[in-house]
Amino acid sequence: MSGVLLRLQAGIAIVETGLPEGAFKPARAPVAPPDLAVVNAGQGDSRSKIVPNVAWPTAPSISAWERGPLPALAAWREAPGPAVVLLGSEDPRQLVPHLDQLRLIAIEFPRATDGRGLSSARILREEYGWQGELRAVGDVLVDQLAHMARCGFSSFALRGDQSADVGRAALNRPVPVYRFSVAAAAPFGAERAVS
Amino acid sequence: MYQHDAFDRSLIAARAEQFRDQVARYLSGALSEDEFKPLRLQNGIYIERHAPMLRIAIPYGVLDSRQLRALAHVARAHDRGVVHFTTRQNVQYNWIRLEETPDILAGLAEVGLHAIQTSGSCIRNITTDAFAGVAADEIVDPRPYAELLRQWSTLHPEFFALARKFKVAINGAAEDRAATAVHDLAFDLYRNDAGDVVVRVKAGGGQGRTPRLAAVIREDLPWQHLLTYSEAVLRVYNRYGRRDNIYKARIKILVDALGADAFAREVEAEFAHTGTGPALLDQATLDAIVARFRPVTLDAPAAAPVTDLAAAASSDFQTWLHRNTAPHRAPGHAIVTLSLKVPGAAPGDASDTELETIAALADRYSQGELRVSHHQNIVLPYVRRADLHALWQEAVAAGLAEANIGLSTDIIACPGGDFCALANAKSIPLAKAIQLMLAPRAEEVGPLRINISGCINACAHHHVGHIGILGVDKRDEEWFQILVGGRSDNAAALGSLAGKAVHRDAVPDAVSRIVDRYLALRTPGENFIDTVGRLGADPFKDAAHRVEEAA
Ligand code: SF4
Repeated sequence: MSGVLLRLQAGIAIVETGLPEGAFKPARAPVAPPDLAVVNAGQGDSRSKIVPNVAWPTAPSISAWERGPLPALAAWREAPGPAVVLLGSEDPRQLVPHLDQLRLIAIEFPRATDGRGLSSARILREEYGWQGELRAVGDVLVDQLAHMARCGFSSFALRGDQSADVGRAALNRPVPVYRFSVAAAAPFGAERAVS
Repeated sequence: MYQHDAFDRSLIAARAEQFRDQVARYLSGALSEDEFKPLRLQNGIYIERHAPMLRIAIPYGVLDSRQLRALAHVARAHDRGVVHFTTRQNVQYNWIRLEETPDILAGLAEVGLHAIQTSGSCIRNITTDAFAGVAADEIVDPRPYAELLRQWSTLHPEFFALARKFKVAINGAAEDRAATAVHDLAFDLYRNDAGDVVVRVKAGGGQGRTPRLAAVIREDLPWQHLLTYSEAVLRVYNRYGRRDNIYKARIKILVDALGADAFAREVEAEFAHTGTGPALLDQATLDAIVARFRPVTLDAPAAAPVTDLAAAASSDFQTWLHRNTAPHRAPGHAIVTLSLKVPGAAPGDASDTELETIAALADRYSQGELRVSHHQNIVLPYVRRADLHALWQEAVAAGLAEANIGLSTDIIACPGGDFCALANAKSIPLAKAIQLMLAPRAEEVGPLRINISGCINACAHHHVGHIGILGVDKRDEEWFQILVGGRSDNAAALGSLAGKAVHRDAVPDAVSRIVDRYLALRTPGENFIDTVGRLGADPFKDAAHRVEEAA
C-alpha cells in the first residue's frame, strides 16, 4: 500500500504517488451506500447520535514523509531534523525560532472536524512568513483541500481511501471566494477585487 | 437590499454544483455517513425526525418578493406546502427528500438564495435588527457591516471546522432588537465623540444548558477592524475552544473558563497579528458595499394622513396600527409587521399561498422588500402611511392581520417534538393552547414575550422570554419548566426558574396564573417585564407553583 501526495506547484496541483507507508493515514473501512428510504424517513432519534465525550488523539497518526522519518514535536526537540509534525493542539509559534532549520512542517488533522490546524497554517504563513513546505496529514479528505490550500498548505497526504483525481480536480478548479479572509498571497481561489 | 452581481451569483452556483457532487458521492457510498455529515450540515441539511430538514439562509433577514416566491415554489414542489421561519431569521423546510436537495439549491441559487453555513460547526448566518435601515432610533445602519461580515464569513477557510456552531449578531439602533446578548459574538455600532462609527464587541453569550449573557470585550473599536477583530476572536476560539465535550464546546464556556478579561487579552494578543491582515477594511471597500444596495424612494409627504374617515372608525384597524407598526426614520412612512402568530397555527409557519400573498403585498406596498424578524414574523420596511389602511384591508382578507406583535399571543416557539429529533417535548401544540387561552385578554395584558423551546438547546430563546418555557423529559412524559423575567433587549437578563417542572396539561393554567398575578400587581401602564423588574420573580414563582401543587 502506498499513498498519494498532492503538491501545489505554482498554484497547480500535481499528483505524486508512492508515498511510503506511515506517511499517510490508512483507508477507513468501506461503507455501503445509504438506504434512501431510511434517510428520507429520518434516521430515528439523533439524540442517540450525540457523542458527548470524545477522546482526542495525543500523538500524530503518521511518522514518515517521503524523505524519511517525521518526528512529533517532542522527539524533534531531542533531535532536530529537517521535518516535524505538529498536532492541531500544539502551538505553531513554538517553531518560530527554528524555522530556518526546517524544510517541511506537517500539521496533523486527527479528524476532518478538527480545524485547529487551519489556524496553525495561517499563523506560520502570514505572521511568520514560513515559505517552506506546509503539509496537511491525517484525516485529509478531498472536500477539505480547497480550504486547506487557502490557509497556506502546499501539500496534502491524502487519507488512504481518498481519490487522487477528485482531490486534484478540487484543487485545480478555481472556486469563487470572497476576499478579506486570507492573505492575497494565498495560492488558491478566484477573488473579487471590490473596487 | 444588497444586490448580487455576477460574482456573488457564480459563488452560490458553484457551491450548489459542489454539493450536487457531494450528494452523488454519498449516495454511491464513496462518502461515509460521518464524512457526509459535516458537508450536508454546512449546506443546511439535518437528518430529522420525519425527513431531512433543509435550512435556507436569509442573510441578516432581508429578502425580496422574488425570493419569497421562489421559497413558496420550493414549499409547493418539494415540501408539504409549508415554510417555517426561525429565530435566526432563516427559513426551514421540514419535509424534503435528500436526493432532491441539489435541485432545490440550484433553483434557489437562481434568485440568490443558498443554504451555505446554515448549520454545522462554522460561522452561521449573520443576524441583525429586522428594522435595520429604517428604524427611527437607528444610530448606524448595520446592513453594510452585516454584508461585510457575510462575505468575510462565507466559506472562510480557517473557520469551517470550529469546535461548535458560532452565531454572530450586529445592532446599530438605540434599542437592541437583535438579541445581541445571547450570541457567541456580537457588535453594537455607535458613534464616538468625533462622529466616527465605532464598535462595541461582545463575546460568549449563548443559551442551551449553560445560558450566558455576552461580556463586553472591547469598546470603541474603529469599524475598519470589524473583520480583523472578529478574526482574532474566532482564532482564539478555534484554537482553544474545547473539543472533547460537545456540551462544553461553545465559546461561552471558554470565556467563562478564562474570565472575560483574560479572554479579551488573548484576543488582543491575536489581534496584534490579524489587525493588519487581509481583513482590514477601508472606506473605499465600505463605499463599494453601500453602493451595491438597491436605492429606495422614501418620498411620502411627511404630513400624510394615517387614516381616512372609514379607517378612523375601525377600532380593529386602530389596534393593528398600534401593535403592528413601528416608527420609521422617514416621515410619512411606517414599518409594518405581519404576524405569523395566528392563534391556533404553528408559530412562524406560513403556507405557500400565504407567501405568495405576502410577496404581492411587498410589491404593492413595500418596494418589493421584506424582512424576517427573529420573532418569526414578516416585516414590510417601506410602507407609506397613506397606504396603511389599504394594506391592512388586504392583510385582513388574507388572514395576515393578527394585531398581536409583542403581545402574549406572539409566541416564539421552536419546531419541537413534532419535527425536531432532539426534542423532549412538543412546543407547537403547547403554543397553540397558550395562545388560545390568552387571546381574549391579550390586549388587556399588553406586551409580554413568551418563548417555548422543546429542549435545552433553546432554539426559541426561552432563557430570554419574559416567560420562558422549556420542555423536559420526565418519566417519558412531557413536562415543562417555566422561567420568568428573561429579556433580550438592552437590559438583557436570563429568566429565573418558577418552581418545579409542570406537566404538559397544566402549563397553560400556570401561565395564566402568572398573568393573573401580574394584572393584580401592576401599576397603571406597567408592562409585565417591568413589574417583574420591580418586584423580582418571586411572586410569579409562587403563582406557577400553586398550580403545580394543585395538579
Ligand atoms: S429547542 Fe430543542 S426541540 Fe426545539 S428545535 Fe431546538 S433542538 Fe429542537
